Amino acid sequence: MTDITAIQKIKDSPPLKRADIVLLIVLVLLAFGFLLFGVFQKDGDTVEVTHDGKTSTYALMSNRTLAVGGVSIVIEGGAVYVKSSTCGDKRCTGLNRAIRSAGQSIVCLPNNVVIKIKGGGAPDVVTGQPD
Amino acid sequence: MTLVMLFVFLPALTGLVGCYAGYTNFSDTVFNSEMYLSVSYYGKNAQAAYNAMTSELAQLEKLVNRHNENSAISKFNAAPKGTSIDIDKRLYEILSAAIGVSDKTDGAFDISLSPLNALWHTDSIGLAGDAPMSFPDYTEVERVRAITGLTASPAHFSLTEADGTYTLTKHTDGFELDLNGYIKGYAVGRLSDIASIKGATSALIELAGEVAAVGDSYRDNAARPWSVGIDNPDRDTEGFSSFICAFKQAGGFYLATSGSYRRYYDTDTESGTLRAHHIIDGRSGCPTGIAYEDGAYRADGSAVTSATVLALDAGVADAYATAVCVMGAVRGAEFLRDNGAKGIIFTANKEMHVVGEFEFMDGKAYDHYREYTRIDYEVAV
Repeated sequence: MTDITAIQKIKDSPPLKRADIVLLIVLVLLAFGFLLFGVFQKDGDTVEVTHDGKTSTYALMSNRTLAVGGVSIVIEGGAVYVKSSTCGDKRCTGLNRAIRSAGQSIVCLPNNVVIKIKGGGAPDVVTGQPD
Repeated sequence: MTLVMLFVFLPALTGLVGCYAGYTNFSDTVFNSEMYLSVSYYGKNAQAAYNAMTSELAQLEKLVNRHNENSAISKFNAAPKGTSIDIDKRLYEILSAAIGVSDKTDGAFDISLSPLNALWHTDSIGLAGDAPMSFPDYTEVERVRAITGLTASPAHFSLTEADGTYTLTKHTDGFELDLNGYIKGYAVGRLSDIASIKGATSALIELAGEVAAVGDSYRDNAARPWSVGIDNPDRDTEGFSSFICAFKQAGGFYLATSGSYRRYYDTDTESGTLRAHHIIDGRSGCPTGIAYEDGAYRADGSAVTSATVLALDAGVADAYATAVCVMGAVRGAEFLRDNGAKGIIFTANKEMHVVGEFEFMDGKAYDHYREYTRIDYEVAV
């Protein structure tokens, strides 16, 4: 098939069908969704809480208290800390363990809860955090 | 129509191809729920590689975990003197390697100090909320110190091999071996081998703070150095945990940080507030940074608060980092320099000892190291 017949074929095809328009709108919405998602990831850091393999995400700039797997987590004023935990050693607990920079995390091993601040510019690796 | 779709899809796709496109992430508690494993894997066979890693860890745990009463090490620790235990070839190799690292550090890294950790209440498991109000009596410290040490004479233990039989024998009641401080480094080395063999072109493996970076970081279709942040041993001025610095590092390294700011408690003494923590100096029997002089415990103002080691050999980064805390900043830095490792050491009196070249990252979040007086050590190439 030559180029000319191909072009002719497109010209002959009917204008946009309703399904095409619906598809187009869906795609545009998706694109904006992804763009917004990208923008939020860059400056608005998020708090990722993982318990037994399940992850939930919250805005760092929000105020809330979460109860996850025996751990009470407070997100407040752009920082996160563990208020209380049912574990024995309490290594993760307390205001002096509060974190607020992308890349930092708090791990409660006995309860299998991991709190991590995600965001643009976070280092790939953070070394020396209390275990 | 095709064109329209392209225009819509392109931004959508670029939005998606963010930082870690292509990496498969795994994480879980391992080692009898005592360690946290996190793996970011780029390449083929991700799931198979992760499965191989966790089964490797389960095997190691059976051999060395002193908190699991069924492990060979636990059986040795619980046995009275005079007991000989036949051990697996693998455990023999791990013990030999750990003793080899200890020799190299002239005993600064020591796998026999858990009785002292128990005495100081800084055992590797749990520093429960009930920290002691006072430090142990020094006569008690000396008594316990006498049953520790790998090179004591007469020997507290022997490790022998004869005709394919590997034997661990105890000569002193109360002597214990604790491989938990060594096994992270050893295990991370094994896990990074597994990643490479299974086909990872880039992977980041973190086990209880010990890190292996296989290959470079792969982002936006290009290989780049990894960015590494070091935790600040002190709270920042507003009381938050923060980074002390961050740097870029090309892949193919092992990384660990030891410091007196983890697993610690503070106690008021007649010479001020002192900090007991989990890193014990086998020569004094005290946590590093605490000396016993003229009948009282005193603080060593030049003590290492945080030591980060970057090594090219598996299994040594964590042990070297611990050894540097014991050796002190200058001797520790020289040790790293002479053994082909890089490092960044921070001290209580605000010195920063830098061994080798580092490309520090700019930014307010990574700036605390500028409060320290910097001393550089060149690594001979």
